[in-house]
Amino acid sequence: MAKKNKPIDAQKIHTTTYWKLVWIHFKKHKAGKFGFYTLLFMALCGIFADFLAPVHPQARDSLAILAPAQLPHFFDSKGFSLRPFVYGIKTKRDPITLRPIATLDKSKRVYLQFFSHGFKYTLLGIPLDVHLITGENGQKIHFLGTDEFGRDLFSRLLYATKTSLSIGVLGVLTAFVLALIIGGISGYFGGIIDYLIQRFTEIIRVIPVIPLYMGLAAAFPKDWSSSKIYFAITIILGLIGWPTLSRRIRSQFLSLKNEDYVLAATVAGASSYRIISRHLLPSFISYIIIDLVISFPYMILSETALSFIGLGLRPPVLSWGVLLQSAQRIEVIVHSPLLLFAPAFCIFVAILSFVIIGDALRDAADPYKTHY
Amino acid sequence: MNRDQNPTLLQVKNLTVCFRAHGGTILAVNDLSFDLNKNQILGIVGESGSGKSVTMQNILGILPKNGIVDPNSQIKFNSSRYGEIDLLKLKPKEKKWFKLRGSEIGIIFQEPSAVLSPIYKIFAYFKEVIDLHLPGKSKTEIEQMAADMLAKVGIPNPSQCLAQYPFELSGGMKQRVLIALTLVTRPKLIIADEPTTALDVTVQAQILRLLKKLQQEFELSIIFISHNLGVIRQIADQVLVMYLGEAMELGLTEDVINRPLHPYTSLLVKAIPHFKSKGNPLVTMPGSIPNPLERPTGCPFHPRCPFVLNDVCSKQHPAFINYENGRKSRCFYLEKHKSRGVPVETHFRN
Amino acid sequence: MMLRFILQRFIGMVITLFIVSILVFIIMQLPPGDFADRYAFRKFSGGSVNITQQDIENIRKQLGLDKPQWQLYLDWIGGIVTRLDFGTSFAYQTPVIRIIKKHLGYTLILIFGSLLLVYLIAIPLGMLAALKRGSFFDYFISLTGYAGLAIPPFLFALILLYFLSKYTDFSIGGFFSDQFRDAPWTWAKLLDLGKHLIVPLIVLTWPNIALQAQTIRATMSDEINRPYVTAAIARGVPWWKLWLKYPLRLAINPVIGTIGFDVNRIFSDLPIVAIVLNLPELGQFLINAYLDLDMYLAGAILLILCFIIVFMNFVSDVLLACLDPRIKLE
Repeated sequence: MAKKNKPIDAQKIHTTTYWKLVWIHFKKHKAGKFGFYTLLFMALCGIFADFLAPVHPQARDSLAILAPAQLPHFFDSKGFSLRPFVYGIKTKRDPITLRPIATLDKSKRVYLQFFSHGFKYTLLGIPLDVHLITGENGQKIHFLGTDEFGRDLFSRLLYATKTSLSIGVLGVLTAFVLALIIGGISGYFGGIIDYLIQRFTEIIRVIPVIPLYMGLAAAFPKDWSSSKIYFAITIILGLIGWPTLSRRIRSQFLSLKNEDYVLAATVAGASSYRIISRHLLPSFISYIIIDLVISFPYMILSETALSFIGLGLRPPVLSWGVLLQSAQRIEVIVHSPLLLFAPAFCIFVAILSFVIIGDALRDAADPYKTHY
Repeated sequence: MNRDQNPTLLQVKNLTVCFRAHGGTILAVNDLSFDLNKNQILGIVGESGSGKSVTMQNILGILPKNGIVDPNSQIKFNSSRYGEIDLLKLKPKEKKWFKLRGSEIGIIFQEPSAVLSPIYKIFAYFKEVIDLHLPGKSKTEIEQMAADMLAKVGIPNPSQCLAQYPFELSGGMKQRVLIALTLVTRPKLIIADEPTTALDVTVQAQILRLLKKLQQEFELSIIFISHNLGVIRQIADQVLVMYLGEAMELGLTEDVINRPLHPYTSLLVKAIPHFKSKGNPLVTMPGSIPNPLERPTGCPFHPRCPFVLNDVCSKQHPAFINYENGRKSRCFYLEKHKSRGVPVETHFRN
Repeated sequence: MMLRFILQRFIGMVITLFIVSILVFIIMQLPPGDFADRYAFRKFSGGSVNITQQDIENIRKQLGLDKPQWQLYLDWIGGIVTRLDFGTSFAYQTPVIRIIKKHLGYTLILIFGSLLLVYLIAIPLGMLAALKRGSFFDYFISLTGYAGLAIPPFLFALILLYFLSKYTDFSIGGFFSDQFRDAPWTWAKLLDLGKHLIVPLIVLTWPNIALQAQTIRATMSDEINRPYVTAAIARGVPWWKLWLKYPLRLAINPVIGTIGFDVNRIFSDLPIVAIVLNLPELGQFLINAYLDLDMYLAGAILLILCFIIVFMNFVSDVLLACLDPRIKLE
């Protein structure tokens, strides 16, 4: 009977530490796992963008402007092929507008090569030129089509993923460090310094976020290099993000300080160190981690919005926002909708994953929830 | 028989209620039967898990969704509007409930602060309840009725009280207001669910006196629920002792307390601190209430009973038997010794 | 007592506005170069004359811009408060106030229309989700909470734009179709405006509806199980009146308390949506002003947006006090 197994399980739960418990519950949360693996996948794609990209992201293929997606096939009217292939591109001129129109040439098969040579790059200082997939004989292939300059969307998407995700991480880290420092100062000195800093954060929050970012970003001189801008943007994201984080840290700390169990521990003779490390820190840290995870979406969205407008990252740096700049013109999207939907889909999936992980963590960390 | 001559206001018959819970099914009330007459105060005493709240929920029709009532159970209520009806046969959202609740059946809850929403003035509550059940009254009439009732429950300045918000009143005053609110529609049946538990002891005494006075004045029937036998003693004519959802003993209050006919009752009585026992350790009951998912077989009290008969108490379920003076008890030990000719009263006394 | 409360909050509002204006001013002055630089450049570029630093200094003195920062701030804020003079827009070569007058109305329509829509939709949705906890409807509402965050308004606008232009010939973009743009006001024009407002309003309100519906669902679920609701049922209050009068009244409080936050959020999304949908309202002008480094215009618009936000915070405080007597009497 189930009753016989329960006592042993119950015992286990009583003796494992808080962290192990959180991890066990998190693993059980199916959506959380899904979100985690999705993000991991995206991060890996970004890290190995060089290897995975069939074509150089900035290369302009003049024979394939606004080309349609070249999806891999194994099978078509001509028969089955063990090696996957894509259809070639042929370019016609539109008789009315005289603009070149690229379409799929179903008569032409371009076979895919694996682990073959392509454009050069460096990985950890080692110069390499091997890529996972390329077109045979060095032909350029475009899995998701090209933009109005003939640049491969798929490759650009890989690099953009790397940048957008890393900016999110750096932004959150910056905000966190700033929040700790300033929040720490605020809490340590207390009194008037604390009061002033709190008032200041409240007032900063009145200003709408994106206009505020834009105001700061507009101040970048036009001649800054793109990496300088990248760095500056992370600083800004952090600068604006820290008040919220700091406020949450502070309120969490204050509310926990007054909990009955802290009083009980003090009365029982526990030292301050023990109270903080054994009692306060676990619940405190779990909320902080959750807050950090929830901050990612905002960072990513802010960077995307800024870059979309042209006030954020600028080419040749690639991010999802930069990719969406192509989507600003409606005629372009109507012709090649993937230019809009591919980055949009990545954004959607990334944010959803973060939110789901955050929720799963929150559920797992909540001591009052019955997980049976 | 003329409806008004029927002395029984409420008849609970074979009430059996289960709950679906995560671990299984919990039997909350098991074959409970009792009558409540007009102009009578019945006390129901029991610890947590005894099923007192669930019984009350069934009388009011507010049983939670996962509760299942046995189809053979009945709760017959002698309504002035609908005649004799079985409350258990009414569907949860049936319109009849809105005419019964607050109008013929009233309830006084345990926590006066939690029961009043802080955003409405006291007058608004009276207006709401009077408009619902005694429609057609003008504002001044309502004010008059409310003020009268507030005066009767001992509020010193009724008109000022009507203009106040609940959070501006003390706990005792709020409970008085709630009593007034319940009585203003002149219900026949009042359920008092631990009305004094959340109050100071001195206020408790005042409220009990007030309830007794009002009961006499308005000829109310009250079911007074409490876990405190001492409080029950002060107010109830009859007392029903419950344990784990079953009736253990029933009888006139003084009778039951002086001459308990059930081991559980006698332990409860012994546990009441008495000024004579000053200096002696407090008497407690052995063991603890079992997990509702692990209900004892046979008599529910047998694991903790000092008089347990090993061969019978754990195997069979004792019946609720009548004894003299309208006393009822559910106990094998008592049955055995009564049939042997030993006087009933001697068994469980101190 | 209520009056004192309102007065307190009002003074707080003024102080906040004052400090916000300082912050806005700092943002305005951040980009390198100022009005004088640009003016000099424009005036002399194309000509064969070499612009010296002295020339720029002269122009600066002429325009009164050579004073220390704090004095410039006082000039600026003084001008606004006394004469509604926000300075001159460099890009459009007109006083800023003219641009604001022309387009403020549309911004206000968008913000208040959005607010109204958010509450009209989110509150019933949240309430229903709480009442039918665990049902498919409830689950669906929870999902939209996620989606609301994951699809930012400007992306949503782009996607809607794509589908509308591909599959319909719904005239999208702008506030009016061509034939109505400069026409005098008629019912037909109003209808046209309404049609064009549909997409912006959907896109702007979407994340807030998701958020507030979630909030109401959570708070309402909390309140439903409270003793005062059971007590009201026991008094015989009928169902529909019961839900509105008791749990909902208290559940709404957090939403009313965050009106300012909702406005803030909508104003944050508005500029980019306005660019995508080509809506000539202040948000769009703000972005263009940033891109052109037209700082007087940018600062003015930013200040106005903040003013509306601070004002709505004030309104939300007062409303909250009206609805919850506990706050009034503290």
